[in-house]
Amino acid sequence: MKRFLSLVLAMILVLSVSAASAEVDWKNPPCGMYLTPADFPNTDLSQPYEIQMFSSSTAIPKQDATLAEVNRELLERGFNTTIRIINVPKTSSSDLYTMTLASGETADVYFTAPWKAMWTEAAKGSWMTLEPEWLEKYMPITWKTQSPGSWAETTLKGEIIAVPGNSMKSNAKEVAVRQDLMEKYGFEKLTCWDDWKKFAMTIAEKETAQSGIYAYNTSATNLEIWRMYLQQDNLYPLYSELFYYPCQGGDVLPEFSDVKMYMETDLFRQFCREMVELRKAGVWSQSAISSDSVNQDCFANLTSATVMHNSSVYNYIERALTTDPTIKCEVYDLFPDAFCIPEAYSNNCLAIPYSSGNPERAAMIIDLMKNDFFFNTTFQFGIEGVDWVDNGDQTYTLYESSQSEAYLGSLAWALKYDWDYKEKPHSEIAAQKLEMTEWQNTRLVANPTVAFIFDDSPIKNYVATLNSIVEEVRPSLVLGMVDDVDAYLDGVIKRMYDSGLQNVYDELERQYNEWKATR
Amino acid sequence: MGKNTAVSTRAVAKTSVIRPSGKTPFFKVLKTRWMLLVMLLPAVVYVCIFNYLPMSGVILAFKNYRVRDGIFGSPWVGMENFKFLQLSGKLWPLTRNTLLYNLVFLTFNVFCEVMFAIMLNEMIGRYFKKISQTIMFLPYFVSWVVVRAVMYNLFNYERGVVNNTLLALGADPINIYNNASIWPPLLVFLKLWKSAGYGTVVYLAALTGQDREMFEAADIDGANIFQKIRYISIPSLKPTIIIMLLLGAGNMFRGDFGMFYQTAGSNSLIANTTDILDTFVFRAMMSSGDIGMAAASGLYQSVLCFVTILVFNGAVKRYDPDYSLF
Repeated sequence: MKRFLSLVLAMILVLSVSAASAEVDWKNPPCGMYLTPADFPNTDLSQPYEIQMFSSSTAIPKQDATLAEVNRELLERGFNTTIRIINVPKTSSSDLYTMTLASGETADVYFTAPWKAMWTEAAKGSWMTLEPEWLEKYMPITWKTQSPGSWAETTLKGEIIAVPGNSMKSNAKEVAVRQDLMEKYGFEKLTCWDDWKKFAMTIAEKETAQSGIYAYNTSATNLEIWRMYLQQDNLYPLYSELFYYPCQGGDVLPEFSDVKMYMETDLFRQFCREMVELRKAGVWSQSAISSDSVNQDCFANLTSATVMHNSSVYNYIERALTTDPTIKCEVYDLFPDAFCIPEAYSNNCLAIPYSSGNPERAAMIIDLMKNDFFFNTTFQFGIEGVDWVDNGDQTYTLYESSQSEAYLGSLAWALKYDWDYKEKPHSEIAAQKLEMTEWQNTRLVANPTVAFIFDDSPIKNYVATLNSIVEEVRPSLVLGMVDDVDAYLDGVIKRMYDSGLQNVYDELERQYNEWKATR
Repeated sequence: MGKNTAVSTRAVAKTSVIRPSGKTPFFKVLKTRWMLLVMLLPAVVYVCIFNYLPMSGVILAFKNYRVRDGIFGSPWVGMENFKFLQLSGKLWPLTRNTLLYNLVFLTFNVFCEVMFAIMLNEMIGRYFKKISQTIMFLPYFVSWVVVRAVMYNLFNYERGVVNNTLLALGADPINIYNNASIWPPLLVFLKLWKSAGYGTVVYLAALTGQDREMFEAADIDGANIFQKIRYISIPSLKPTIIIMLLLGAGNMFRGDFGMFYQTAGSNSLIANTTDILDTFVFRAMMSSGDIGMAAASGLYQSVLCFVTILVFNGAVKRYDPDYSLF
């Protein structure tokens, strides 16, 4: 009897484990997935259809060839669907977003993000609302593989408006510097902000007049230096890049009294003072406010000794090395004790616009791009054997690291998974990048308010006015053009309150507290 | 000869069927002048499609536009979309800047364009005249983006041509990007440099059409060149000048966004003298992209422009009714 019972229990255990393993685990989906039309029984594939996809980046030279490969595979597998990508350059995307969406032009898939007017377009009803039942029916694989918590990040007033990304990696800011110049002036390595400041001021004093290389060649639109600086106080965003709070770590939700418009923080005041010091020293041009120089490009063409960004700095190093292979570059984390904020799931999304001619087919294509091994890797890395290689040991190697960022435009950013399919670096730079990412991933502290979505439509007039003031004054503050920082900032803050900043605080507080009560 | 006279008499008889009220019947006009009307048709259609139909879009200024509801289905919000203009506290300074700049541009440009046109008209050297005209016209084709790049290289604090020259001469370098007072004359100069060539051609065309007999008569009377300009050329340009001024007045509250944004940019240190309605609206809309608010600011400018043109046309009518638009 005991043996019989043991046998039955063992069988139950085996069956339950098997059943559990048949469920797709969102944390580790099968990266070898091969999907066919049978996986989409609810989608009508009887008529051919061309999906119009809007990418938020310029086309890479190989885009057409890669897309042809994707379309060939789609037709070969019987999906009766092809894809056309419309590239909207990043610089003009915020304007074109509004125009193309408002025009009613047929668009089936759009790359979107909070930093690409996702919420403002949602408030205008530009995106299709994705009901859970609909998602389960037409995007069945993503519905299973997507991190359950991620949907909350793209939910406004209880409605899902976009499919979020599915990767949680550090988005911390790093600084890449010309190590050959560091050595020339006796610097070994940078361990903190003050080290970088000393290096930058030395370059400004000794190198700029001689070779024309600025310590930090930048322009009015570049905010990376502030994004880097705010990490030291663990300032996490609550709403847009306007309102921040000091993160305590863990799941502790902040009190609203800790939330501040960033120009009101002591840290920003201190930052502005330091910027004046750096500008006066000549770390960047006195005319930078009118410059079109992009810091990343300046680093790549060797007119800037520093570039600040996220892990993309490694790509800029590769570009700089292409310009002059004899130079040396290193990447440093200036705030090694600070938290590393992970990239929010909503930071890279795919939405189906209201004007889509065939939302079901668009959903199927998103599902394929996100989950099918062939489509996912082709969109992210390019053509296998041409642009990258599968090493056969659950690793892959890219032939050029720059491809690791959005091979087929920004659409690929939204396709990342934390798969158990790792990159094996092809170069020393790529290896350093992986090492830095892994180290930062150990310091990841998620933003506990990431699922809080502020609906600014009730106070859109105040927000528009606030944005206008910020856009007007920020360049001169970030570039250190204002000598009397305290008087100027006091004036700006008064102007903001006169224009209704308190109304924004009040509405933000009301919605935040309502949301907090539901947690 | 006799046949032609008979035909023209018949034509006159045909077209001069006038009602006792003094108006020609519509169908009569249609029948007799259909060829002229057909020639007019494309222009009428163009104006209707591109000028009158879009006017219905002004209702967006009073709506909370939602893509899925369309223009007419979106909810009405009254004057809500106009609020952000007033909230900023900069409505008056922005309106003042826009108006003053346009006034200066208009008067200064018209004055200079007329002068250039007269000078070109009086020139005898054919090649010099053509080359001068071409050189003056060229900036019209230069984009403001290119102008910005050229300016940056000229006025760059550390490496600009202007500052290098000043330093070589022992003077202090200047930084135009934190000096608000430099900008009004600089912008006036830029506007003139860019548009004078185009405007000059308009006045030159009017001068070319002058009756040469008047100049010959003036020569016989012993008039010198300045007298001929004062008493023949300028009076004959008066209708063109008034039309150009009226057209300019129609845009009195619309700034040249390309020029202001590209040259001055979003720089708070010089905003007092370089910020106009259009640049403010651009900054406000850049992150929100709210079509209703953009339409509201557009309507605000249109209404002010309409009032200006009414006032200006009224003034012209009092001066000489023949020169007024309506």
